[in-house]
Amino acid sequence: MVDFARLSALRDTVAIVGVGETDYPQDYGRARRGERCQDAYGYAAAAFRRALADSGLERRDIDGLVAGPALAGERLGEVLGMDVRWADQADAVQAVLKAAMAIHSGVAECVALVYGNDQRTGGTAYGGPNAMGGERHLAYTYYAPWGLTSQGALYALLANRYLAVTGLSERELGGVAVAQRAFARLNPNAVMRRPLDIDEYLNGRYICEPLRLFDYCLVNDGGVALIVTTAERARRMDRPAVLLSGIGRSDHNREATSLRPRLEYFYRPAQRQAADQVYAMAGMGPSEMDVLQIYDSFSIHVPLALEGFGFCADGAVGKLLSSGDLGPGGPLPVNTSGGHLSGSYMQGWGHQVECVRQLRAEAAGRQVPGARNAQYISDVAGKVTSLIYRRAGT
Amino acid sequence: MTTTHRPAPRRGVFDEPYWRYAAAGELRVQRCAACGGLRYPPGPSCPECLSAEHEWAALSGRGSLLAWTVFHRQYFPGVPVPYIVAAVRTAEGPILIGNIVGAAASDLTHEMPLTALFEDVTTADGPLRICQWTHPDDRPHREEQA
Repeated sequence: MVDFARLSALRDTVAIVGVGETDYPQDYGRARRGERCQDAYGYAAAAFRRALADSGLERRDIDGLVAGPALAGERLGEVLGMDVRWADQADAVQAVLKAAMAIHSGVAECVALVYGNDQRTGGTAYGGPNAMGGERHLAYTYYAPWGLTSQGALYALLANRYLAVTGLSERELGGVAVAQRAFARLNPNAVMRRPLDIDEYLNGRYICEPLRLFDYCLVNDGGVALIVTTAERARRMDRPAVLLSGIGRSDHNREATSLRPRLEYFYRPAQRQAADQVYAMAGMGPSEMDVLQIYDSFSIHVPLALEGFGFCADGAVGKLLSSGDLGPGGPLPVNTSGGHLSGSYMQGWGHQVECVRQLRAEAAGRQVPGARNAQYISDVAGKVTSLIYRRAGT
Repeated sequence: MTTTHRPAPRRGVFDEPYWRYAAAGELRVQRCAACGGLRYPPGPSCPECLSAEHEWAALSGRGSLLAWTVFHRQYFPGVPVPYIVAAVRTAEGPILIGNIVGAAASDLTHEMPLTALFEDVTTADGPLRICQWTHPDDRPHREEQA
């Protein structure tokens, strides 16, 4: 059972004090022109320089390093010229969790979380016989003889069932891509900034029915870095601190390859468990979230998260998606940088940065006024995790 | 469906019997000798009771349509689009993946009954017999019955 007394000892004890990202649109343009002048470590290093400068810390202050999934820790430390006393490798949300645990336990004081990916210029395949992630998710490649590979196709199967069971229409689902594009247009560092309305969405070609082109994330190159340290140290620094207030995780792995949790439960039991924990630990609920960042490799992640975490009643999500509430000026802003669909596909790392920018009130034209609490929700193949951040001093 | 050069299956240690039975036109999955639970894909032990003892139980070949997607993007040269991939809830419980043959996407409805049949295809590793699904009334006579 969850020991909330122990969990709450971690609440608000670590802070994100620096963030950095690469120039996504410029790098995307270069990649489209066939130029290849950077690799995953180059993007990582560029993001790290910015995060370090943003934090005001010196490189010698950093004593922990978490490398993103596409990077080898040894080479990353070599490239960044850093010898640390604690290191690990993780995806976005686990990177934050591991850093928080390391800092809370005292094995590190200042941890750099560094991600770099040359997935576009490097030609990473997300479908086909060597689909990315196949070594960790058997279902991504197991059904290749029937022509079924790729995460997108698995989410298309989910969407086919989910639309039938919930009554969500394709037009309503299109509200996700439209709202996020509207945010991307307000973000100078978003890759896709052309206008997108619901008619253009519906005219978009199917990739795996019922998911269309605009339901799929971008594939672009880039880097992201975050600097995490103790809340005490953060209070002594110039930058506004963003505290980690809640953590929730629940995995749904039983029968994962047969797709039962995906197709019969839409991962809801795992979403509910993660929600219960993250809200209990943070001492907050869905109504207190000012900004939501939802891992969105595919648009369908968004309704699943909104229902699973209690932002609307089961079956009511269609109206919410098509209402405009999720977009700029709406009461429930989601993926305010444009997300993976229109902003940049940094596999959840950019979402953490956007939480920080919103809570520091540094999001310029896309700023959610008065944002104090931000929640991140990711559900990758039934591994549901959520983080709640809050602005220090509120 | 095409019969040329589909992707070859991943053949782990526990997959071999499945494909051997399929080659003989039999649809079988592992049944736990201790608790009777069926499991697919094949694996080393029973997720219910952790017993490693098992036998290969024949399924009836009856199922219902849980979900489907129509591929419009081509990922494999030997599998031309559009094609339908379905998740089928077998009468015995396990969910299996296959293509729908002898029916268009517009004919499909959730929970519609389906029947297994075997299709001979070729892969880069040689010939392969794979389990497919069709509507009971539409089963092509040229295909071998499960």
